[in-house]
Formats: sequence, C-alpha cells, structure tokens
Amino acid sequence: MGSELSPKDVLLRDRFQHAAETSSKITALRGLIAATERHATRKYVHPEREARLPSSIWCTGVPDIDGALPEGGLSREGVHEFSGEKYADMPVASAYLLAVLRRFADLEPASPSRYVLWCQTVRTEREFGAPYGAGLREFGFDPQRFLFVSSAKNNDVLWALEEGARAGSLLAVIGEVDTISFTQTRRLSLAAAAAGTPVLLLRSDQDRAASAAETRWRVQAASGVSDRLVSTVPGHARWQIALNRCHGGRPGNWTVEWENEAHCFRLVEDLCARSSEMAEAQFPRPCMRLASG
Amino acid sequence: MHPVEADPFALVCKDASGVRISAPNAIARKGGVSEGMRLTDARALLPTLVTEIRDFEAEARALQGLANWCRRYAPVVSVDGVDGLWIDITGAAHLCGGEDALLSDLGKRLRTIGFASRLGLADTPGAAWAIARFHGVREAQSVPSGDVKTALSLLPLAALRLDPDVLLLLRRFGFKTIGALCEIPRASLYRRFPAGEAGEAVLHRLDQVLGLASEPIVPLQAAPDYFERISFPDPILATESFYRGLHELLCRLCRRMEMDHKGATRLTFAAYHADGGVSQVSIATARPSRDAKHLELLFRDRIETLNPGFGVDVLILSADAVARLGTDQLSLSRGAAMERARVDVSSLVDRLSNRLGAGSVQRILLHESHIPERAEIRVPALRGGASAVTRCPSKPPRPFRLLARPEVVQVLAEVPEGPPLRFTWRRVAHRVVRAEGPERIGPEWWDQSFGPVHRTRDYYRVEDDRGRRFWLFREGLYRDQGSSKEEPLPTWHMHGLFA
Repeated sequence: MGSELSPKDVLLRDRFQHAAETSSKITALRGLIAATERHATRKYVHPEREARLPSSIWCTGVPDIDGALPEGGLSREGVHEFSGEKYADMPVASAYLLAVLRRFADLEPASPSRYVLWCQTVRTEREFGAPYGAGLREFGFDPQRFLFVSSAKNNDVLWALEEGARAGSLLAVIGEVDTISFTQTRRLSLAAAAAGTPVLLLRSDQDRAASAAETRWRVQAASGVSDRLVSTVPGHARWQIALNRCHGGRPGNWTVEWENEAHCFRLVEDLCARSSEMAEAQFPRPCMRLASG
Repeated sequence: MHPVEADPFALVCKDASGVRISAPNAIARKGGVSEGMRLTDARALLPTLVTEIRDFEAEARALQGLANWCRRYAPVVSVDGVDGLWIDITGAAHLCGGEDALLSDLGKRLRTIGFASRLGLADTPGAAWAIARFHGVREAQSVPSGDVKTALSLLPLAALRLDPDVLLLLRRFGFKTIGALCEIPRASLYRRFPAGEAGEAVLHRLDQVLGLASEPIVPLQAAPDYFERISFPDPILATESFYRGLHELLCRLCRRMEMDHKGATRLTFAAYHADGGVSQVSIATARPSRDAKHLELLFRDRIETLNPGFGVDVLILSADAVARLGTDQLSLSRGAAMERARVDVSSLVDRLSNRLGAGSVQRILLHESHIPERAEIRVPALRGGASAVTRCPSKPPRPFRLLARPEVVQVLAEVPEGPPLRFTWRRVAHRVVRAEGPERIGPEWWDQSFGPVHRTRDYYRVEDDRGRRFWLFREGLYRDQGSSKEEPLPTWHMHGLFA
C-alpha cells in the first residue's frame, strides 16, 4: 500500500530519528560541560540569587584586558587583589582599585544610593593617608556614601571586611590589610560569593602569599602625560598594570590611561610602540648612505 | 578579708593629732573601743586589736557597686551618705512576692555576701531612713502603709536627719522624741526658734518624714523607659542560658515597644550575680529598632564578655534610650531606594560599631572651610546629622588620599616662589617633571576652633619622573621676610597623593 512505508524507509526514518536524538544529546552534553566548566571557574552561587543578580561580571572597558579575563570581565562574586609593584606604588594601586570600582558602579543599578565600606588598618592609614572625600568625588563617587572603618588590629579589619561582604547591602567592600592568610582570603571570597558583593583588597607589595582571590593585579605608575593644553601640567594618570594571577584567564601586561572626566580606561598601545621606535632612533644615523661605502 | 567576726578589728584614720579609731567592729565595741578613740588608748584596752587604714574611696566604690547590684530589685536606686542606700520599690515589690518577702530576701542576700545591714521600709524615704537606723534591735523592719506617725513617735530626734546644732537646740527645748514634736502645733513650734531657717528645717524634715512634703530620690542611673526582668530560682552559669534569657527578654521588650510605637537606640543587658556584683553589656543602634532578631545579633558578640561570677540569678534588659518608630518604617516601601539603603546599612553599622567601638565606623561630614583637612571631618556613622554643606564648589583637583598630617619635605625650587624642582620625602629623592600650581589657600583667621591660625599655603600638584603624583604645599610667604615681624622661613610639606 502506498501509505505504508517500506521496511527500507522505516529503517531510514529510525536512523534519522536516532541521529537527531544523538545530536540533541551531544548538544545537551556540550552545554552541560560548558556549564560545569563555567562553574568550575566560578564560586558556587545559589540559583535563586543568580537569577536575581543583574550580571555577575563587570568589564574594564578595554577589550584587550577584558579578553584576558574569564567570561570577559571581573566577577562580582569574588575577591580581587591589588598591590603596588614597589612600596611607593601603593597609592597608584589604590587609584586603580577605585577606577575599577568606578567601572563596576557604572554598570550596577541603584549604585548611587548604595554604600561602600572602606576598612583599613591604622598602619596603612599612617603610611599613605586616609581616603579624602573631595578626591573620591573626582572618581565619580559620592563621599557621603562611604563608610570607613579603621582599627589598629589587623584581625578587626578582616572581621569588618567579612561582615561587610556578608551583609549584602553594600556596593563593594575595600580592605587595606597588613597581612592576610590564604584561609582568610578564602573566607572573604565565600562571603563575597554568598552575597554578591565584590571585595577589593589592597595588599602590600611584599606580600606574595597564596590567596583565593579571583584576580591579582600589580600596578605601577607609568610616566604620565602632560595636559593637552599646558605642557608643564600633569594630565591623565597613566598606570602600568599587570594581571599576575587570574582564575580561568591569562595573565598580561598593559599600560592604561584613566580619563578622569569620562571615567574610563584607554589602552596606551600606540604610545608604547612609538616609544620603542624612539628608543631605536636614539643613536645617530646618517641620513644618506653612500653608494660605494 | 580579715576574719572580722571573731576578732576585735577596727579601721583607723590618721589626722593631725594622731591615729584614731574610725570604725570598730562589734567585738571591739564590746571590749570598750569606740569611735574617735586614739589608737594607743584602744590598744591599751584591747592588745589583740587588729587595725587597718580606712580607705574612703574604696568604701565609696564598694557602696556604688552595691547600689548597682540593688537595681535587681527596682530601677531607682541611690546612694545616701557614706553608708546608706535608697531603693524605691514602688511598683516593684510584687516581683519578689510582696514587700516583706523583698525585705527578707534582701537581708538574706546581703548577709550571704558578707554585709551587716539594717533595713527599713516605709511610705516615705525619711521614715525608712529613721526606721533603718533607729528602730530597736531588729535587722529589718517595715512600717505598714499609713502607719508612719505611730511607728516613728518613739524614735529619737536624731532620726530626723537634722544638723547637730538644731538637734542641740531641740534638746534644750525639752523635746526627746519625734512624737513629742508632732504634738506641738506647727506655728508655735516655728516661733520657738530664734532663727527662721532652723525652724523651717525642722518643719521640712518633719513633713518629709510624714509624707506631707515630697522627697524625690535622684537615681544613680535614670530609670529606663522600658525594662524587663527574669529571675532564676538557682544561679545560672552557662552562656547558653544567657542567650535564652536574652531572647526571652528581647521578645517581651520588643512586643511592649511595638504597642507604644517606639524603638530603642540604646539597650543594656545586665546580669546580677548571686554574690553581689553586676556585669552588663550595652549596645547602641544607628536607628531606633525593635527588631528582636537584629538586636539579638548585636548582643550576640558581646554576651561572651559578660562575667557570670559565681552564678547569676537575675537578668534585666532595659531600653535606656527610645525614640518614636512608626510601623510604616518597617515595611519595605517601594521607591525610596536611598532610604532603604540607609536602613540596610544601618544594621551593618550597628554590628561593626558594637564590636569595634562606637567611634570606629565613620563617615565624612563636610565642613565649610577652604583648608583641606578641615573641609571634611570624620564623624561616627552611628551619630545622625547631615553635612552643613551640601553643594561642593568645583575646585582644582584634590588628592584622593590625604595624609593624617602634612609631612615636612626638603625642596629645591628654581625660584623661591615657584614650583619645586626636586624634593625629598621620607628620605627618597624625587625629581619633578610636571607641576601645576600654585593654588593659594589663605588662613582662616575668623575660625580658631581647630587650633592656631595657619600661614598662607601655596599648593602644587606635581608629578615625579616615575609618574607618581603628589600634593605639596609651601607654608608661609617670602615677602614677609623683610617686614619688621620675624616671620620664619616658608616650609614645604607633603599633604596628599594623587591617582
């Protein structure tokens, strides 16, 4: 009968069905592997919370740097460490930290109303001063939305950091600590993951102990640029940043410029190239070569 | 402690004429030693007399401690002289099962702790004072309500708390008891005194004793607006029991505050020891709260610091400061994101400040000033109050880190009034590549609340050859040199760090 399929057709149909099932299975498995890999690079997040979070990633705005980071940005559910290349680079490291936080605040909804907790030990306050509101305003923050904790005891500062990260109501938590052990960074990263509050740590340049941080940046001041209008006046700040450690990303070196008005980074690539050209051109060369030698 | 009960013992104090007995114990009194006697005379009477120098400050401290302990019975407690305590048990006696039960409980406990006491209970403070000190032999005596006049009629006049010269005068008039005074009409009693004040004093004291004039007791600590109390039949020691007691008390207190639309900003949790001590912890909140869960969390960190001594038998939770708190604030109203963020963060601030200290969490308060370090001050985040300045005029760039105090730097400048060329800060030399400035900030002579007036400052933003940026200033002016005043040379300082 015409309506009935021949055995050959049935076989073909079964094969097709089987192939389709297999391919969908493979797709599903691929998705599972991808999800597992993604989860392996990230901390556990409660599914309900994950659904609520607008985005767990924030980017620096520079494609080169974002490309080196897992999932194209910094994770809000983790600890990020910043330190100076040398002792005197600590202020520059904290400036880079603030710039990164600025990028985060721009992406975050309701960020102007949320508070930032800044904890530091008395020692770090004595070394490089305390945050100054008028200067924070230049990074685009409202100084009134900062809470400061300063304590002579390192452990009190660590405790305050953890409490702040756990509270879940803060925009971010910034910590300047004397020392921090691996266990303590792990605790902080768990607290950050549980509440979705990023913890930004400023560590001493000498402190190279292991940590559970998602990323670790070393920052160095780069010789800056002059103002566009007056050549003797300092212009945009320029930093040489190195991504030393990154969970699921690849380390790298960049020189960036922070645009104070637009609050964004700009990669200083062309200028690096030019400076290397200039280095080659330092030795005097004859401008014409004689044909005969 | 000395075995004061069995041996003759006395406290002595030194004065200009030598060492005198100040307070002998009962055994010593029996042996003939009395107050005011010379130590040498007392030794002659009782060669075994043991003495100790009297420490009035320590006594006052001990009395204060005992007064605190007595708050377990009622919130209004006050110290009277060097050896007495007032407890206003109005409305609190039922907690111990009635007035007589309270009196016997107090006497028993004081005896256990090691204090000899005389207790008096009456309608008025004056009558209770008189009863405690002058009534017969019983250790504790209470006067039934409305019966003060008959109870006091046989007591000597000294029970009226009068000056010695007034007492002498009354004795000369032939009065011996309070009852005798009460029989005389007031007008004729007043007329007997040559000086009006003495007469007034007698009548006033008499009125106070009989309850015709009020005598308020000024409590050691203001009576709390709300307080809840738990007493245990046996002393407790385990921290777990404290937690359970605290939970129970907080639930009760918060229920009561909710009925009155109030919230607490300061709470004290006190544990009264069976052996006569008190240990307490206090917490403060940034905003009025009656959220039992939140308050319990605040206490949780502190409760381990409570010293249970040899056991605690009374727990009291009091709300020392309360403020109005409507029900609407507790609901999550939509829209007001700013307000909600403040509420969210205030519970964190509470937790941090209760553990690290009230002033440890700070926020910035703007101040109307041009001097950078005065333009903003740090205030405890718990304290309310908004900045006086809301608008910030645009200024030349400011550093984002300001040093606690300007640090002296050695500077080499091209011209005296120009920007620095090289400078040495913290023993590291820096070569200046770029500089911006000066920004001149004059001294604020009209405001000396921060200390002496500064000199004129010229601020420079400089960048060194490694790209680091600093905020330097030169304090003082060169043109002052030629003037008649001996102005010191200008000095350079490091004040802040730029990005």
